[in-house]
Amino acid sequence: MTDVSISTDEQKLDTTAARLNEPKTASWVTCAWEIFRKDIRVELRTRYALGSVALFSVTTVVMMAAALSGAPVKTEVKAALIWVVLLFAALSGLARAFVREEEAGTAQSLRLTAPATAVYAGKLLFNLALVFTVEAITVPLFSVFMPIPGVRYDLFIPILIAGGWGLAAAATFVAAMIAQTTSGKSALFAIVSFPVLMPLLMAAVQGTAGAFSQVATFEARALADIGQLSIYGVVMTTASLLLFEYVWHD
Amino acid sequence: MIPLMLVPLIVWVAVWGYMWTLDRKVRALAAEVDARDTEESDR
Amino acid sequence: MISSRNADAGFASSRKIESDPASSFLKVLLLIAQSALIVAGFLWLAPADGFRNPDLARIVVFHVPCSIVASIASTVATVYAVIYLAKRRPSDDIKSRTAFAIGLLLWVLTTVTGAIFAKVQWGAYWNWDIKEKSILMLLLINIAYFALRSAIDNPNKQAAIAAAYAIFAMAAVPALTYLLPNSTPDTLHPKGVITTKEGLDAHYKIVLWSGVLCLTGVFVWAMRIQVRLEELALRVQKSKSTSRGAKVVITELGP
Repeated sequence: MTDVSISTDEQKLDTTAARLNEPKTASWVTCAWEIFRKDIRVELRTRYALGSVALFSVTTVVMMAAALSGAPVKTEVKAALIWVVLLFAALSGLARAFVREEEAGTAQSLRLTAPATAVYAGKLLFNLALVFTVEAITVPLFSVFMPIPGVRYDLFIPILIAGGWGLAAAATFVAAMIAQTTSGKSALFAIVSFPVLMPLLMAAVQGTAGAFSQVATFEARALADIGQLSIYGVVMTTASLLLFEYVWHD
Repeated sequence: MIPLMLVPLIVWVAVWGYMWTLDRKVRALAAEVDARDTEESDR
Repeated sequence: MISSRNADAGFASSRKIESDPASSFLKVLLLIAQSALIVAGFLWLAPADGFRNPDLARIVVFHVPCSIVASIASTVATVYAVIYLAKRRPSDDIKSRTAFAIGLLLWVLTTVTGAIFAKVQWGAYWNWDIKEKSILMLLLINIAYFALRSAIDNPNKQAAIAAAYAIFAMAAVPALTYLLPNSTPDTLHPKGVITTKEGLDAHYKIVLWSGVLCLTGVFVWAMRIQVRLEELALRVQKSKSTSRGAKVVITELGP
């Protein structure tokens, strides 16, 4: 009798151990995806971040075009302007992913139920969607109000994608940090993220200027810039994943 | 050249003097805190 | 009570200040060495040939040591940030924070001396050379570091988030200094000037590298003073919170 009961206990331990040793990746991915889906659902319901970001983008482009309507503007300047608008418009909405959680009080339950890196990944996906939406609104607006002839879209679009990814990766990490500060969040978000975004901005503007320039050497250089932007994106995502738990957990 | 040289020279000596004084004060403070701690434990 | 109060005062004033003759010697040596370097920089060094204002070009022997020691300070600060996240000892956070503060001061000095040199040599205070861009980035990161710290109340959170930001931001710096230069070459900061034979005149090199040594000494000393002060403050705070509160005075009530 004793032997049978011991072996049953051992079986129980074996199955528990087997369950614990199951690959965690499946549940990690589900976690991240669920966080992303929930954020999208909430966003589509309230349209808070989307609204403010879209409005910011429209207003800024129109104001800029109005201010510059009299003067001829060089294409390099337009390249810089479009990224300034993208940056500011994105920054106005990228912090929401974390600030909303902290303000609503749901952040604590998120800390207890999901692994830290999965939280970052889910929020990153959401912010990526936001950045690409901003780009989808701003770029057509720009071509209407400040048209650029002969844009090499095969260079410009990869720049927008790679640059957008780097922007979302860095901004999501910074957003998690400033969501835990006590006051002055929006100003702090800009102050803290801009130095980190400087390399991204410079590479993106240079590449965009190359895509607009219609000059072969600059267009070739834009390819190098796409590479640099991708490397920046990889570095920022990796650094964020490694450091996120120190920011997220106590 | 000499008047131009005196500016960084005087600044440097002043900075050094400040650091020296601060160093002395911090050491004195450390001694006092140590003394207070031993008194506490003696009591 | 009265007698013990007197004992307090007596204790503090009679105790000798812990003074270490070796470190005092080093500090005085630092004073003499750096002063000698300043004098040498102005009187011993010949005006630099090939520069537009040969006399004022001397500032390069201060600008370069400043930037080198500032980099050392930033590196030390980041290393202590990593150590803090691993070990979670408050003293490591103090060291990281202090190194960042001294680094900020040194970076500001580097930028100012560089701008003076640039104005004199090329006519403009700022030129967007790649090194200038990276220094700007470092300055902004240092400022943002302290802005972030001041906005978080809980000391443990403050230390952890600051350390994480420091490491994160420092990871982004090489992106600017090593990736981008392929497109914007180092025009104002040519390579090898301070190390190779073809670079600066030998006397300049001696003054410059001795300056690096002296300034490193200043950095180490400043770190030690500030860290010691903050650790003391931490100790006093801790002992205040754990002390037994108001000392109970038992008065004998005579019959």
